[in-house]
Amino acid sequence: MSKRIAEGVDRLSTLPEPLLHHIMSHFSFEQVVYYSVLCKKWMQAAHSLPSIKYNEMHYEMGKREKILEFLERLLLKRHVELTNITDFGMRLQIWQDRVALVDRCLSYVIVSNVKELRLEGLCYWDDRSWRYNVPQFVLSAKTIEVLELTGFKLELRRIDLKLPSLKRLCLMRVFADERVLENLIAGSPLIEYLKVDICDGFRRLELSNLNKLRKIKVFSHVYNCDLKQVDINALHVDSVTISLPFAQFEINAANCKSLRRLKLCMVSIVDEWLCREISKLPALEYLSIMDCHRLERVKISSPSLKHLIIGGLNLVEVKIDTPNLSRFEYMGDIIPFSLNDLALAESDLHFYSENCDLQWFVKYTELLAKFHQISKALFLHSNGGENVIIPAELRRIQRPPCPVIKHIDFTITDEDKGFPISQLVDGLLWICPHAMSITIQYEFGLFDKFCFLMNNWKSLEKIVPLLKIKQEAETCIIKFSYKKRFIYDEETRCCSHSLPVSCWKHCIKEVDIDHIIQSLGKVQIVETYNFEDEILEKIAGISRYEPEL
Amino acid sequence: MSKLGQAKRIIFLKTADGQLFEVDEPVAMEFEIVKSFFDENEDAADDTVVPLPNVSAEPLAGIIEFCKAHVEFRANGAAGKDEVKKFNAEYIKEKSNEQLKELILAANYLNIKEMLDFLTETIANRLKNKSVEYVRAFFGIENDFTPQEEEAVRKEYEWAFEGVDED
Repeated sequence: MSKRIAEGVDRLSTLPEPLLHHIMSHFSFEQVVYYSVLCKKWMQAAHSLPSIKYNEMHYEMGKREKILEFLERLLLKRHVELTNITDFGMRLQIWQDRVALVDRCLSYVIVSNVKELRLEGLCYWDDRSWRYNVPQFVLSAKTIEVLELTGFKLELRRIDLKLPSLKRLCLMRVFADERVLENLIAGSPLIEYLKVDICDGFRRLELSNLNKLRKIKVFSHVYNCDLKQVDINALHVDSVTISLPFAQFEINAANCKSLRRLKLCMVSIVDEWLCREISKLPALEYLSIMDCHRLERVKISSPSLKHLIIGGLNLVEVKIDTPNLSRFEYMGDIIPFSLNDLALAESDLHFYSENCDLQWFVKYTELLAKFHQISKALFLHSNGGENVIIPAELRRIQRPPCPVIKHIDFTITDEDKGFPISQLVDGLLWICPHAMSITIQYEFGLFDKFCFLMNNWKSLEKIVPLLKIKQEAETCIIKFSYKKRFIYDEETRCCSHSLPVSCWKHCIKEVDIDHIIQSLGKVQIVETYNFEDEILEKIAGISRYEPEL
Repeated sequence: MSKLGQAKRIIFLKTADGQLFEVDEPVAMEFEIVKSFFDENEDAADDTVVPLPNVSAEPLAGIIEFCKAHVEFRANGAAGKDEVKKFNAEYIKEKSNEQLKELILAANYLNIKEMLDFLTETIANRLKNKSVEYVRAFFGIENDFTPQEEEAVRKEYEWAFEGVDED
C-alpha cells in the first residue's frame, strides 16, 4: 500500500460531488462526519449528502446525547440551507425526555423533502406502557415515498392523514389505533407495498380501493395479537402473505383477478372457503397453506396453479385438481391424497407422525410410490430420520416405493432425534434402490451436508447431471461403483424376494463420500472418503459434526 | 474480441482518444448509455459506431473486462457467489487510486450501476478506519483548511474523533 501514498495529485476531490456522495453512501454517520475534515470539497459534499443514517447503537452510552444533539444541529442547518435530504434513517431509544428533540429532528427532515424515511424506536414489544407517538406531520408529508416505522405508536387526535406520494409502507412492532391506520392507508392512494409485522392495537385491517397495491404482507407470531381480521379487495394485488394466528381472512376473489401468490399461515379459514375462493383466482400460480388449524379436507381446483404447499396437523384429506402444477410440497401425517393426473417436476414431502408403527410405514411407502410415479424429482424430509428407517418386516413383504429414481434429497430438520448416517443410507437405498446419488442434509442453522452420488457401472454419461448437483449444492460426491448387474441372486439371503434386483449391499463395489460442513454460507470443512468394503460400517464411522452451542 | 458464429452481434465503441472497441452485444448493453443509444436509434445500422467522448481507452478496457466477467457469471447462475467476490477482489487489487478514479468517472458516464456501486464501495473501504492524515496522504488530498479552520471543525466534530485508531 505504501507505494501508492503521496502520489501528489489529488485523486478523489476532483470527482464531481454526486460521486463523492456515492462514496459516502458506503459510510456510517460518524465516518461521514469524520472524513468531512479532509478538505473543503469533502466537507461541502458531506453537508449536502442526500442520505443520513443515524444508528444510536453504534455509540457508547456516554456519547449518545452529544451525538444526538449534533444530529439535530446538522438537520437544522440542512433545513436552513435548503439542501434536500432524500433518505433519512434514525434508530434510537426514545423516552419522554427525548420526545421534543426527536419531534424537531423529524420536522427538519420532513421540510427537507424527504422521500425515504426509516425510523426505529428501540423498545421491547412486551412493554406496552409507553412508546413514541409518531407526529401528525410525518403522516401527512407530501414527499414521502417510503415509510418504515418500527417500535412506535400511531395515536392521533386529528386523523386527516395524507401521504400522497407513499409507495411503500412498513409497520413493525407498531401499536396503531384502528382509525388512524384506516385513515393512513386510505390517504395513501399510490401505495404499492404494505407490510404489517407484529403490530397491535387494531382488530381489523381492511385493504380496499387501493388500485396500485401489489404486495401485502401481514405477520404476527403473537397469539394474543389484537388483529383478528384481514380483508383484501384490491384490484391489482399480485402477492399476499398472511401469517396471523386465528385471524379471519377474506379476499374478494372476484376483484383480485391478478393475484399470483397467496400464502396463508395459521389463519382461520375453513374447507368450503378454500375450495370456493381458490377456484375464483384465475392468475394464481403459488399457493401455500400452512398450519391453518380449521382446515381438514383441502380441496383445490385451479388450472393456473404451479406451486402448491400444504401443511398442518389437523388435515385429514387432500384433493387437488391442478393440471399445471409443477411443484407440490406437503408437511403432515399420512392422509389420503387424490391427485388428478398430475405430472410434477418436484415433490417435496415431509411425513411425520407421533406413532410410526408398521401400519403407518405401509401407508407411507404406498404414498411415496404414488408420488414417485408422478414426479421427476423427490425431496424427502424428516424430523430425525425416523421415516426412512423402514422396518425389516416391511422390507421383506413390500417392494421399494421408488425403484427408478436417480437422485434423492433428504433433509433432517430436528437434530435431537438423529439416526446414524449408515442407517439413513441403508433406509434410503431401500426406498430408492440403485439411486445414483443421495444428499443428506442436516438443518441446524449450520449446514452439515452429505451428498452420495452413486455411479451405475455402465453409464458414465449419467454422471453428467450429477456435476450440476455438485455445483449448486457445493457438496460432496459419493460414487458407487457396482460389481455386476443388479439381478436378484437366490444365494444372497438377505435380499428379499420382493426385490426385483439384489439389494445394494451385494452389488456395490466402491463408494466415494465428500462430507462438507458449511456455516454462514461458506464451506468450512470438507472431508473425503473412499470405501471398498464394509461400506455401511465405514459410513457409520464418519463422525458427525457437532455444532458448538 | 473474437467473433463466434454469425448470430453474435458486435457493438462498435469509439473512445475520446480515438480508439475503436469491438464489444459483444450483451456486454455493451450493460452500459446504460449504449443501451439507450440503440433504444433511441432503433434503425441504427449494425456497424454504427457509438461515440464515447468522455471515456478514454484505458478505463474502457478495464470496464469491458469487468462487465464481460459479470455477464458470464449471471449466465452461469453464479451471481452473488464466492467466485464473483474472488474475481472482484482480484480485479481491484492492482488498481491504483488514479485508475480507480478514472474507472469511477467512466462507469458513471456509461451509467453502469452495479460497477459504480462496487467501485465506490472499494474506495470507501480503502478509507475506512484510516486517519484523516493517512487518507490525505494516500489519496493526495490537499488540505485547504487553515490550521484555525481545521481546529474549529475538529472541535465541533469532537465526538467523531474520539476513539479513532490513527494508523
